[in-house]
Amino acid sequence: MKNSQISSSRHNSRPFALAALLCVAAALLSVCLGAAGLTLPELWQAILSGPDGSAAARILWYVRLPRTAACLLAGAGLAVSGAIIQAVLANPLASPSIIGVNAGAGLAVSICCAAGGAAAGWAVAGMSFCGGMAAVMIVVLVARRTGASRMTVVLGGVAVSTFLNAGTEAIATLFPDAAVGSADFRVGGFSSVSLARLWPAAILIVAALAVSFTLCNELDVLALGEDTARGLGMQVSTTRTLLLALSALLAGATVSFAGVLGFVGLIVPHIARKFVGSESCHLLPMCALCGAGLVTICDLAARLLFAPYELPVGILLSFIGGPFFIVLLARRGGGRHA
Amino acid sequence: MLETKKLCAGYGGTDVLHGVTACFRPGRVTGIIGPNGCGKSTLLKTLAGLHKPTSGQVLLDGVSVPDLPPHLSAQKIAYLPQSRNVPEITALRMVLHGRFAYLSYPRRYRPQDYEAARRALRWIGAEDLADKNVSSLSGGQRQKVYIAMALAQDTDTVLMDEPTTYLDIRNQMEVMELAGKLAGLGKAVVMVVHDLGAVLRNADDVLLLQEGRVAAMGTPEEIYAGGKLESAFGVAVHVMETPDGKQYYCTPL
Repeated sequence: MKNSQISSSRHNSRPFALAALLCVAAALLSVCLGAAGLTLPELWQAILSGPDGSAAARILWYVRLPRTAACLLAGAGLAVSGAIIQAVLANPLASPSIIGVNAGAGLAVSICCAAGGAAAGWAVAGMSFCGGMAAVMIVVLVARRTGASRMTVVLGGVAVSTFLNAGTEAIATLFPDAAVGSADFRVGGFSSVSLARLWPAAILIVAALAVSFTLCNELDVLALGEDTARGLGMQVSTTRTLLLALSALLAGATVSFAGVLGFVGLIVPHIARKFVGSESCHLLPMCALCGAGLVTICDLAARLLFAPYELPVGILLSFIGGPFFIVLLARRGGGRHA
Repeated sequence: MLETKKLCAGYGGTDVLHGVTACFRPGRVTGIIGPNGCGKSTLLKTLAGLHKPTSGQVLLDGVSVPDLPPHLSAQKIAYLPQSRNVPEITALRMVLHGRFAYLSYPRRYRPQDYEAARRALRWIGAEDLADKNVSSLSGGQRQKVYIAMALAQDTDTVLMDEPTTYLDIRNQMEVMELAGKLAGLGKAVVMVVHDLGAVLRNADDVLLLQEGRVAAMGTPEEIYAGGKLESAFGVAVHVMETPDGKQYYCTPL
């Protein structure tokens, strides 16, 4: 990239190479390890033979590959969604799960499943996006009307999340047959990932990621404050809505196959910022890599730790994310960002 | 030339500005002064095209500013607001965003934009800050970076809302000096400043606002001689001839 030589030397490409390596390693392990381990030669043969070959090939093509792809996509989608929400709301404590996006998408998916049984992948992904977008819009409107302090946004998000989660729980209770009742969906997990669910969401996530990478200057200018951004010629409300829609799309599409996975969107942007700083053109790609790697590793751990039992990855992420959030609150305290 | 004609503007149906007619000449620093709540910031925002007037006109070389699309008004008028965020990006990156209005989607800054940004930093004498994170700079350095951003925006008009507030005295003087240098480039510089003495000493023109109306407009000498400052601020204003030129100071009435 021609910009890299001009921008500061601090942003060298090493963190990116390391994160990419981590992703590849995590993906490789995730494909090979599991109840039935695959050795590298077996893996190679299974790839060559296609889905209809040996038992190993069937495991690879129908179980491991979809699951690994789901982990990578979910991690990248949620992390970038979180980074966008944090920048747009100028709030380091915001994330898709705190702000209600995940809950909204979760409720929408629940309704889909309860009403339509096995609804088509596209319908679920679309509904999921609408649910997430509705939630984020409610939170933003509430915050506007009440003066929009950063705390209001977080508190409003918690209130909206609680309400929407109650809806999901109610549906899970009233329609016990719908898939949403599973712990996998409610805390987020990949054990029931199917290709049919995955691929529409995958297309949406990849497209939304590509678009969001082109909007990094917009994100940085927004972070200068509303008045400055307008003075620089930006149509602030349009841009803000577009970016929030992108983050709702990313989080919503993820929820449609991974369930309500929390904390990735909150913690990964903070981790990525430690490595590459806050400039969005570095931060967003780094978030995508770190998120993909983290979720894949956590899912692998969740599969292997208590084998043959499997922990939904969301539980493991909450065990990591909860303490991390507390550390974050203690260290930032809102001080510098208030 | 930037001018307003019978300009009224306000918030939620209540006008703050009542028929402001004024002009801001190129090559000069115009200081807008007035007591708190008299509409200075509103006037500046309306001049920048960020706030829609309820009636009256804002004209830039005869073109109505409120009717310009945001990117076009940003190519003609730079605006530094009162509340300034502290972004966690490098100073060069920030100054580069002054070029935002010149690009359309997908915005990729071009080599000439990098050049303009570096030139702006050099011009304000802050080249060494280029690779520093803005959040690590002092208040005075940050203000200079903001001014460099306005310079990179390459506009004929620069509006600054309280650029010296929160700065120590030396930085205040440097900002005032930079404002004069900007005017020296032929730009119309308009700034809201609270320090009466500093405005009367440094500005070429002064606009005194009182309760949303123009109480007086003219050179510092004319404003002082007009005697409107006393009633507007409720203080006595004095002038003293010194070896360094006229110095203005205030005492309680």
